[in-house]
Amino acid sequence: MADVDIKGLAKRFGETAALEDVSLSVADGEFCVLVGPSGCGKTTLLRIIAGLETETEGSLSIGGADAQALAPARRGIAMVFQSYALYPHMTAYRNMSFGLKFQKVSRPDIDERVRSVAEMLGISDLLHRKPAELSGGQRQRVAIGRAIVRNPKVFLFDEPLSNLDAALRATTRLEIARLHKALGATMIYVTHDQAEAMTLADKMVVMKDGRIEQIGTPLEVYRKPANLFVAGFLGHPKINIVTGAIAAEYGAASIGLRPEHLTLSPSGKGYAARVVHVEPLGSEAHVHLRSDALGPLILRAPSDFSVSGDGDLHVTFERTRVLLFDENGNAIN
Amino acid sequence: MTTRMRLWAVHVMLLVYAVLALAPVLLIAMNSFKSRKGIFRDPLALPTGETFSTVGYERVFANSDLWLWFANSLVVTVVTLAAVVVFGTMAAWALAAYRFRGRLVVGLFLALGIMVPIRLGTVAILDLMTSLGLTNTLAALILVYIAQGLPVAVFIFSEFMAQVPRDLADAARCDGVPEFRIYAHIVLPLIRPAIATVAIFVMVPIWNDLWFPLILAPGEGTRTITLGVQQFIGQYVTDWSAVLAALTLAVVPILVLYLALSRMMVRGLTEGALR
Ligand SMILES: Nc1ncnc2c1ncn2[C@@H]1O[C@H](COP(=O)(O)OP(=O)(O)OP(=O)(O)O)[C@@H](O)[C@H]1O
Ligand SMILES: [Mg+2]
Repeated sequence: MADVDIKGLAKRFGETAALEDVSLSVADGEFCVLVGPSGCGKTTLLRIIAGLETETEGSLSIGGADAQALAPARRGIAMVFQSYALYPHMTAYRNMSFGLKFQKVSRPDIDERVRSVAEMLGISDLLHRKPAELSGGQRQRVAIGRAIVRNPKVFLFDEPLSNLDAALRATTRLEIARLHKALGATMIYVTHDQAEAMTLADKMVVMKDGRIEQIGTPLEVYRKPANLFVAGFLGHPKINIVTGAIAAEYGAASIGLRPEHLTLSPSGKGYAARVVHVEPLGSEAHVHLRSDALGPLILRAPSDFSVSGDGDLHVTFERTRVLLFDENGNAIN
Repeated sequence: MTTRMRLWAVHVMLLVYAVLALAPVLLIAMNSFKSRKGIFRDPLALPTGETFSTVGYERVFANSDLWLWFANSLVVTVVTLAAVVVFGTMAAWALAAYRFRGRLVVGLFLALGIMVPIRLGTVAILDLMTSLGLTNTLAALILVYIAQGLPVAVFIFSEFMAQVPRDLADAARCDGVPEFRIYAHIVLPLIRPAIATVAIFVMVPIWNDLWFPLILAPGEGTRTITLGVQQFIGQYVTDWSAVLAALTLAVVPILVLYLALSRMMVRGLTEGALR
C-alpha cells in the first residue's frame, strides 16, 4: 500500500506563503497530476512529499505511516527533477546505480536491476555515456531509470517533459502512461502542459497561489470547473466568459461557454456575431468572433470553415452546456 | 574599437605583465650560472664561456642541510594544502548547502579573515605557540598557514559550490546517499577546478614565506628553504652565486606542483563539469 495522505499542509518561506491549507489524498497506484500557473507551489508540494523541504504546518503520511520524521530515502519515494539532476561526472550506469550502493543491495543485484530497467527504457546502449554525451530525451530516460531502479512506492515527477520538444513529449507521455500501468506504483506528477495533465491523470489537482482550487478526474474538472479560475485554466482555446445581461438571464454573475459548444448558423435564431479572425490549424479552426450581446468569443469549428456570404452570422449554444458562476466566481450547480 | 584590436590590446597588456613578472625570475636563474665576477661585471648578460660557472650550485649542494630545508618546505606546504582543501571544502559546503543557526556569523568571521592580515597577530601567535611548546616545530607553521589559507579558500569554494545545482544534492538525498558521500562523491568532483585554483592561491605565499619561519621555527632542524637560503646572505659577505642557485632550485618544486594543478584546473574546466 502506498497511498499519500496530506492534511492541512502549509509552507511559508519567511513572509511568503508557498502553500496554504493543502489537503489531498492519493490512492495506491493512482496517477495524480498537479497543474497550476507558475509559482503556485507545485514544486514545493512535491519537495515536501519527498522530504526535501519541511512543512510549516499539517500532516503527511505515505503508505499509512507518518512520514514527517522520515528522511527522503526512507519514504519509499523517488523523484524525477525538471532539470533531471543527473550527476554530471558519472556515466548513465553510475547515475542509476549510485544510490543503490547505499541501500544494502548486493553488487550483482544492482547490476541486474540497472540493466533490466535500462532495457525497459531502451537505453541499454547508452549506459557508458556521461550526461553531457546524451540528448535531452536520453537524459530524461536515465533520470526516470534512476528513479525506477530504487523500486519506489511513490514516484514524484516535477515537469519531467518540459525540456523536450513537442514530438518527443508526446511519445514520452505515452511511455510514462505505459510505465504507470507496468509498475502499478503511485505517481504524483507536476506539469504545465494541459494535454499531459488530461491524458495521464486519474486524479487532477488544480492549484493557484498555494491553494488547491479543485480535485477531480480530468473530465470532471474540465466539464464542471469549481470556479472561474479552473474554467479558464483548462481548455484550449480558452473558455468564453460572458457577463452582464445574458449571464443574468441564467441567474448568474457570469457564464462560461467552451469554444466547442458554440455553433454558428447563417441566420435566424441566436446572437448576431461577426467573424474577426480565423486561425486554421489543420485539424480544426479557431474562429474569433465579435458579438454585440456576448462580447468577444472564440469558437472551435471544423477545419474547412470559411466565411460565407456577408459574414453576418448567428451564434447558438445549448442551454445545458452553459457553466454558471456567481459574483465570487464560484460555480453554481 | 574592433574586436580584433581589442584582442591585440589584451594580449599586449598580458605580455607586458608577463615580462614584468618573469624578468626577475629569469635574471636570478641566469645569474645563478655565473661566477661572482660575472654577476657583478654585467648582471644583465647571459653566461658566456668566460663567466659560466656552477660554483653556486656546487656550494649549495655541498651544504648538507639543503635537502632538509626542501623537505621542511614541502611538508609544511603539502600538509597545509591538504588541510586547507579538506576543511575549506567542508566549511564551504556547509555554508552553501545548509541553513543553520550562526551561519551568517561564521561566514562573516571567515570574511574578516580575508580582510585582516594574519601577520598582525604575530605577537599573540608567538605567545600562543610558546605556551603550547610548539616553537621550532613544523606543526606551528602548519597551523598558522592553515589559519592563513582557510578564509580565502572557503570564499572561493563557496562561490563554486553556489553553482552546483541544488537539485543534484536533493536527488542524491532521495537516492539515500549519506550527506558525507554527497559532499565527497558529488560536490567535490564538480568543484575540482576550484580545488586547483585554491591550491595555487594558498601554496605560493606559504612556500615563499620568510616571516613565520623566521619567528616560529628558526631552529636548525625546522628551517624552510626560504629561511635556509638566508644563510648564504651574510652581514659582511654574501655568497651571491649560492644564493641565486638556491633560489633557482627553490622555484622548481613549486613549479612542478603548479603545472600539475593547472592541468587539473584546465581539465576540470574543459569537462564543463557543472552543465
Ligand atoms: N527556497 C525558497 N525560498 C523562498 N521562496 C520560495 C522557495 N522555494 C519556492 N519559493 C516560493 O514559493 C512559491 C511556490 O514556488 P514553487 O517552486 O513551488 O512554484 P511552482 O508551482 O513549482 O512553479 P513553476 O511552475 O514555475 O515551477 C513561489 O512564490 C516561490 O517564489
Ligand atoms: Mg516548479
